[in-house]
Amino acid sequence: MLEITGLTKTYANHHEAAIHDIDLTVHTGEWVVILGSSGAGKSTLIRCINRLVEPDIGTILWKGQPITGVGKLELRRIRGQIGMIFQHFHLLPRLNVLTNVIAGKFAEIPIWQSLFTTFSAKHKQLALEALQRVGLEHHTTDRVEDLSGGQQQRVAIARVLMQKPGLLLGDEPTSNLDPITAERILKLIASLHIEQKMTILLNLHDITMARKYATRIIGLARGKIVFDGPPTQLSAEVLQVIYPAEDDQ
Amino acid sequence: MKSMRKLIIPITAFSLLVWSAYGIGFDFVLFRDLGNTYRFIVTQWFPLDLQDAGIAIHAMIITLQIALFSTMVALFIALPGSFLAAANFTPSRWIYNSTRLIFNLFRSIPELVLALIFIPTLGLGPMPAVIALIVHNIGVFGKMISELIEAMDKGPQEAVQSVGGTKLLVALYGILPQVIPHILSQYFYRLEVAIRTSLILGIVGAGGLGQLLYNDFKQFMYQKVAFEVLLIMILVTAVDYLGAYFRKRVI
Repeated sequence: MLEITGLTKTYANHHEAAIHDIDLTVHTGEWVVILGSSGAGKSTLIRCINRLVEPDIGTILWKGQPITGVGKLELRRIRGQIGMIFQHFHLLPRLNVLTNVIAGKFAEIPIWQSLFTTFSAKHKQLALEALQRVGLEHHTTDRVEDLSGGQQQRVAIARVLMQKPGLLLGDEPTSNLDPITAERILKLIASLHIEQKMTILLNLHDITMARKYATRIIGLARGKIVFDGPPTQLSAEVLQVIYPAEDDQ
Repeated sequence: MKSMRKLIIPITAFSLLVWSAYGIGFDFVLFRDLGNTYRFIVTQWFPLDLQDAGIAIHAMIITLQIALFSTMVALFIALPGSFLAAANFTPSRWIYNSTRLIFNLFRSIPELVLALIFIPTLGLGPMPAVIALIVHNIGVFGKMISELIEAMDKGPQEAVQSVGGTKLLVALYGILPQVIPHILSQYFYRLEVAIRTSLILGIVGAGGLGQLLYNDFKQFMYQKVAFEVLLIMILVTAVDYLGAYFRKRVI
């Protein structure tokens, strides 16, 4: 269970808070999709959860352990248990696919192994299995730049699999892909959701896909939660609240 | 008014050009004796004097070694330092400011002066020049690489953070692979500059081709000078080709 209470973040040089006093509880096994127009605070909310963005106020608990307020060492341990995928894939450039997947275990790999990129047979085997799961086992020695967008996002998912996380965060993981590839990626995430019993929290901008895959939708507007309910309740009126017309802002 | 404002920059640039031309006494009339230079080169520099070719080639190798050693050592020292001098990576404002200050200081002292002040300690020969080049290039590499680090894509860095990697791993896996091609291409440029600087440092007895060139010039042995100039051109061109080759291989 992920418990967020009173989460607020205001960026330097901004008057308005990016997210303001967010309370949100996500139960284990839920697939939550956050909807909202650009600038609504979706990205900030997701990034605060593993503290890629440091929240100003508020607490976050994952499986009862605090994420906020803990020291560097503990934060790295918790981050190791939370997977994250990104809009621009965020793979490690100029390195091969296998190394990129092994990186998922950075939190527990001994420092001398990662310093000299001499990873253990066990980790290589785990990475290979993760790549088999996403169907890229024949690309282990390819450089990540040489892959297509969809393949790159699958490498990122294999990196997440390497972590064996209970929670998967995604910051618009399909926005940079064509519709067909985007749907394939969501199908892959859906199968992991079931197989690995992963709790999932994604930002999406595609409402149709959100309806199709999410078990719960959160609507965010101007840093506040304006809707929280199952996809079936996502009516035209609700969408108007989540995506207010430009001149209302 | 608007058209006036558009003219301000070209007018200022032109005024500065004229102002500096006056200062240095630039005058086209001075070039009416261009034939002198032509005759000087044709009659005095040719044919090339290859009698001491062995000595000159040896000196060329020393010059290359001075440049290679000092730029490599400088890069090795500046690389970790530049992470401390990059605003997005430095552990504290205080360390950021002090490493920047050191880099700026190192860059601001002329190499000739650095070589001169090390002669009492290290004696004549390549060493004072090597130290001067190391100090100067630490400053250059430090500024350059720290600015590269600041400009790199944040994505891979975020990725390493998100899986629970330490700051060291962020540097090694999130930043270094991105900056290496840029560092490499800048390295070969700095190597070329170091070769040319070491020639100038020959004046203060730094050894290598520079010193040979300076000595032969003073003794009016222009046919030897001509051969030495040819060697310099070969050396600089070779380094340029080598750099292009490595850039292609790495990028």
